[in-house]
Amino acid sequence: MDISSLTVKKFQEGLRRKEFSAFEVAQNIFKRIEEYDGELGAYLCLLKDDALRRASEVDAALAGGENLPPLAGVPLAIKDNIVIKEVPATAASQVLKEYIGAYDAHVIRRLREQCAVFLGKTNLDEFAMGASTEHSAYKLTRNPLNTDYVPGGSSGGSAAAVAAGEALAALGSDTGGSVRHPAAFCGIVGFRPTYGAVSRSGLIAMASSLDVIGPMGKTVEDVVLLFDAIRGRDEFDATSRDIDFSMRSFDGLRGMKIGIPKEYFGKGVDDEIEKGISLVRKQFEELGFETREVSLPHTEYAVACYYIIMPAEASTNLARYDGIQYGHRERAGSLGELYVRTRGEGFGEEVKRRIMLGTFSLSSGYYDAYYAQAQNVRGLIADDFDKVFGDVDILLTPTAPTAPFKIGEKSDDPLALYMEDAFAAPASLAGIPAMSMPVAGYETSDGFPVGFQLIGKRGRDGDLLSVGKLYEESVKSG
Amino acid sequence: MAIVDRELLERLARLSRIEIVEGEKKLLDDIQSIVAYFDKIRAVKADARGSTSCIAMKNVVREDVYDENRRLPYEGIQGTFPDKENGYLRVPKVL
Repeated sequence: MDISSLTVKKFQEGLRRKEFSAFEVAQNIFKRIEEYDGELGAYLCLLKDDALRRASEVDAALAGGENLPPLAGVPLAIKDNIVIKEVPATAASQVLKEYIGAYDAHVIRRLREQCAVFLGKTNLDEFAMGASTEHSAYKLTRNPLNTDYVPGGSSGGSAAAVAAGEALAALGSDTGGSVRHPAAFCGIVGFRPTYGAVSRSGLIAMASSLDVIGPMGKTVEDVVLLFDAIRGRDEFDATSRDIDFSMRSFDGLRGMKIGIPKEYFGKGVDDEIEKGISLVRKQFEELGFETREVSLPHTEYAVACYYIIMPAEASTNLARYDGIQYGHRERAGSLGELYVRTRGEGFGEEVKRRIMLGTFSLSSGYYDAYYAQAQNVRGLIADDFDKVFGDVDILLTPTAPTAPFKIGEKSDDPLALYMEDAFAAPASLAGIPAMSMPVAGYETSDGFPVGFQLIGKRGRDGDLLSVGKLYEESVKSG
Repeated sequence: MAIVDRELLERLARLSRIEIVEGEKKLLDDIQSIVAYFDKIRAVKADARGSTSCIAMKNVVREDVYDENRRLPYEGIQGTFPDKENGYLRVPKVL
């Protein structure tokens, strides 16, 4: 069985046609994990017994003639900042090294209803802060396409697992690009839904106005299947809501106009990335789409804006890691000492850096100049998108300004890593859906695929996914 | 432009309850260069506007009644206590 090319869709069909059993597929995947993950480092914890048991239950149900839910038996990897009951959840931090999930995240409950199979928890940058997965407190994850290179971040473990055939699909989280960026670096599809389309209940919070859980898979079709299973209003997340999600037929898409924002090209963008996007533009034009240049004038402020707002919110959300109620607790003489030592020992460098940046922006004397100003600029960035979406229906940009870089190349330069989010941050700030998928038929000189990003209108996730699916089907047959 | 010096760093560490043990110089350098980068945003002419219109939400409320379904299982919560006795969470002296 060639697990590495198996998609969720093919699994669904093969399972029902009795070409294989869910147990067989799960077992095969664990064999692959045993063989490759020692080097790749995608997983922090494996749930082998539970996964095989759940897969057998699905097989028994199928044999008994029951109708199976769409994702029954599908083996998934879950980013370790999403809580599963009675399973460790570390957010790749020492401060949560002894934490066992006390409840299921909403998305996990939804996937359980579908009888999906959870293979294990995947590695990430600590508390999802990073663009290379080099900031995990536990291990390094390597890019399966070339293990000297980073997989991108922060959902690097999930991306690597899917790309290496160590899972059929995965859940990641995207705050400033953390699903899209590693998807681009590993050559898979990563989707960031409209803010609020998927419940954040059970997602270890980083920045509450930016965090989104996103599906990752080998194909857009797989990502759609996963998204459909997890989306929707949840009473435990007051910011969640139902969005109108209907996939359009290809005929229904042909009138669509694709905008190419000029600020996403030029200085700071690798030549090979630009070439890849030009190719995609041509491919879309050949499919009958009109493309035109547009402008999002405040794009250059997005990184600064994001790195003021996100750490500010994170400094609040990470205040709960004080060693008292859960997680790691340092020995200390006094309460005050307990706090500072638990957090000093438990948090990695990047997390400390961001908490302090956030504390800075929110502190008296700096609040107006930085945080309040960043919120205003955020509004301008969102307005830029609203304006262009009066003229075009979807935007095409690179996902990242650079191709994958070597392990260690940028890990000492925080600002360089922040710039990796330059093209992902704007959509996050505006709360609109965005997806990264690989350019068909193109590779960089180092042999990496290039990810292109589609950005869509708020709440129009179906349109965005439909365009991606059309591209995928057309270049396959073309 | 904000001056990020050692005094400010210590104040931020106090506010965020984080003990800085090693690498203080690098932390200071990093934060200085990042804050310097932030300054580009101060040049933008932005009127005060509720930027959260991009994620504008109505306030969501519910009836103030006890709902058993909203209760997390106590065993799960208690299981995460770093130090416990008889079902209680043990903490250092507060006062």
